[in-house]
Amino acid sequence: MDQAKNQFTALANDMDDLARYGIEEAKRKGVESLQVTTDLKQEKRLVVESGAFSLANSTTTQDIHLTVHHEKRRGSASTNILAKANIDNALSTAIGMANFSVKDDALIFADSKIAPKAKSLDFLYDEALAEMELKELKDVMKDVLAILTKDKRVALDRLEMEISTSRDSLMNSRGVSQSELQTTVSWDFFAMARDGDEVSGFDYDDGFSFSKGFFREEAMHHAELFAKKIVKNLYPKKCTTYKGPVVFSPRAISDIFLNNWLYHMDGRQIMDGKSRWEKSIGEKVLSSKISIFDNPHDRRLIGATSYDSDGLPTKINPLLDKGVLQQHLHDCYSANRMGVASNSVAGGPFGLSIDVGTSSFERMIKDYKEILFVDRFSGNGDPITGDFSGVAKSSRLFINGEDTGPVMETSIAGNTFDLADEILSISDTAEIVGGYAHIPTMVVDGVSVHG
Amino acid sequence: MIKESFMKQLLQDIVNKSNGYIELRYHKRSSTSLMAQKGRVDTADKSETQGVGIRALVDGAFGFAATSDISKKGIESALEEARKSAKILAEAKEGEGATYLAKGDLATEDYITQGYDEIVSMPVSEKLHKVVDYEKELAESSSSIHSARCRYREVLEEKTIVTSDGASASVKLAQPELSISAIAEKDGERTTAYKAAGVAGGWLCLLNHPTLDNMIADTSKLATDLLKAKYPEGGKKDVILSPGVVGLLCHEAIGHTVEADFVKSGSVAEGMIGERVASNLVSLYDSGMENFAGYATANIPFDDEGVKTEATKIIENGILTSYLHNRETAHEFGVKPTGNARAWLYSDEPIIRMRNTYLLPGNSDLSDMIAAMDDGYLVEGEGSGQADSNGEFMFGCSHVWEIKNGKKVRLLREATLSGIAFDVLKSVNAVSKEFLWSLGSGYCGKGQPAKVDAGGPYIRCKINVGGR
Repeated sequence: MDQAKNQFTALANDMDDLARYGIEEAKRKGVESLQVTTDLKQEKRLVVESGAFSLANSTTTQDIHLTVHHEKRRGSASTNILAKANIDNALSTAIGMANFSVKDDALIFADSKIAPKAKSLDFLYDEALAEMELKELKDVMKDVLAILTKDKRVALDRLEMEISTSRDSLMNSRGVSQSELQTTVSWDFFAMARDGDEVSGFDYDDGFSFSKGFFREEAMHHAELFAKKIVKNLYPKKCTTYKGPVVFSPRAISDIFLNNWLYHMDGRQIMDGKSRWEKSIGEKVLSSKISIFDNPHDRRLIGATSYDSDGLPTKINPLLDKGVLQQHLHDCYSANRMGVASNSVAGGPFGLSIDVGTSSFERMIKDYKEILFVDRFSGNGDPITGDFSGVAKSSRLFINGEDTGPVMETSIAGNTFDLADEILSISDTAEIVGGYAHIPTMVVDGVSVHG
Repeated sequence: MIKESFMKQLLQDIVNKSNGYIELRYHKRSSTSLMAQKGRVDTADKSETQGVGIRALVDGAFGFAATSDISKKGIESALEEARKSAKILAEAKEGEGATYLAKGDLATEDYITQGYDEIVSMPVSEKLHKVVDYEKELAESSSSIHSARCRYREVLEEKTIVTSDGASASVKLAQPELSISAIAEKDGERTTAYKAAGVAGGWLCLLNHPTLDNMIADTSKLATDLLKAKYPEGGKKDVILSPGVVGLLCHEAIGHTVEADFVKSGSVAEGMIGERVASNLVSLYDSGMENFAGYATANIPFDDEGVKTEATKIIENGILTSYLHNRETAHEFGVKPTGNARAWLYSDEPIIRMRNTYLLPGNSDLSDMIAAMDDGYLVEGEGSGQADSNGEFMFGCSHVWEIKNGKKVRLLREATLSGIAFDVLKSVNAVSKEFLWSLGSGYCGKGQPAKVDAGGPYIRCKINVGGR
């Protein structure tokens, strides 16, 4: 155990030494500035396919990425080989890339004034989890597998569980130096239901924890909920065709709406004139029912981090307050272009939460003669126009507040901007979607439903 | 640079001294990404990843490990890790049945695919200047163009695979891709159009891809014309699907359901070998060495288990004839492996993936197919898509042409196509002579990325069109 930990620590130290070497070499070669990021990851993973254990994987990977700014030009290169010769090679490649590139006055790396040492987030690393071996993971996985396959109608395509220990660092020639150690245990389910010749659509779900703590119980509870949900997708019926209100699950909100809203808050889109919200700070852009903030220190969310990918310490950022846009999302580059300050979201946002509302699910649906509940969206969305069109997956039709069962081949379409003020209600509870965002359920009017 | 003969000898020495089945895969991937927009170079990056991925079969279970230390000691150490992991898995599998591998036609040659030397010797500066020039040309092509983007990516792979039961082969492969996109704007309305192509080949091969013919003018015009376009009417429609859309249908709607791991889990294709799943005009293949055009992106001589690739006949004249297999599923199903085991990086284990998936061309002329249609759509502009275990699929297309009384009458924007895959294939009533590979710039996602291609002729069939 100690030997493995010592090897990991030694590797991390070697990578930091190589990063410092790269910075010194860049200075010696007369490069104006260099930023180096390192990424070390140890994974222990077990895979079950079609209900049987199929693979055990124990691997350590690493990567060192160098970005050069010289004479207002940028180039970058990376290598996974930890040797000075390979760093020299990557540095030369990055310099070469920069030499051929186009001048850009806005190129900038953070300095130590705006990017002091970030306060570490202790909850990110759990030694007990780092020391957990495949043997122990196998026992947990057997318990999870037993729950998933208890109902013989569940056709499990894939179950994966993985323990990951990672160590990232960022340094640059302007004095910034950050690093972070993290452990995660994660689980992924992918299954369909089968009853004789009847085959449902597939569905998937995942979960994670930063600590060994109660993850076994969490994963088992999660498996139970998933198995119950998947068999409810059997025997779908045709949905009606209408234009009107639709209930969107948290993950459907994420797929259709949240990603689109984030696009228009994104500093890079702002600077390129692609955002509708370029001049909208302080203005109402969405329903007054919507408030969103980004909290990179939220231990429930997998994106939690103490520093962003420019090296700035992260902070809580209010994004929308009762529909009013509070700020755009700027990294150092877009901030420099727009003449504003970065709000430490380079590579983010990291821990999004949409405020919950006041309605229970039952209350949200009871007033409608019929209303479609969209659990998952499989389709396309155009971030520029806001148009979306696709199929409602694992979705159900409610008539007079009663669940009448799953629906088949149901298309939905609309425009996120046209629907911006059509949010009728928001649930009083929220779910964590994909490990990265905390999102409630919403009823949105004006959606085209084609059964 | 590692000489393939040196690496092959090193891996062979380790294999010769080992017991049981082992598979050693040296895998080096060099990727160059260049992107220009708004007169800037937003990306000029080259990454290099190399190492050895190892699978060991011990007590009927697979263990996997990988190392970037490609010395003899480093590889042997990783082999021990793989064996340890395999033993843990064997305990977990108690009572489940051991893993066996079908033999297959194992590769023993060394290959350098076309265009590799050309791409490697072409200076990055030349590629970057082309990207910058294309973006500028597109941005300045019309006053309606709000912004443009040009992206070039190139993947160079060097692989050497040695297995304890006889595979001993190496390959050098180049997979460049180019895409351009434009946003047009008028009176607050915005639309997008794009063109993209990818090949297994060199720079000239890429630029000669038929999709990139007249790419600047066509993209600019389409983006601008879409500003005036309305949405299609939704419903079940007679359609002619363009080769790119056919490719998407082949890959998403059929290909995934016949991947043997998905079949084992209970996809809709389970138990359907020998059954009619399409009209007798339909024959569908997945190939690692296509011979229609010779440049399809996933032209690979052998897969990541060392099995030689072939043209796997999935559907012949409407009858389902084969699934896509790795060595393990081939043994379970009592067939020979089809060469579909692929891994993205050295640190990924091989899983069943498609290669180049396509419909065979037929005998009809596209012009006759259009002329015979009273009311329907010609669907173009394939986007992304997804298919389901029950055969239900969905994909998005940027535009369709309305056909009335045998003529193309107007351009409409954005259609979502959906349906049940085998039902759509059963409705196919015409297949054109024309053929195009169209999805080579795309990546398939299934836990790991994979470079794939897909295409086909034009086909006429019935499908659900999602409108507004």
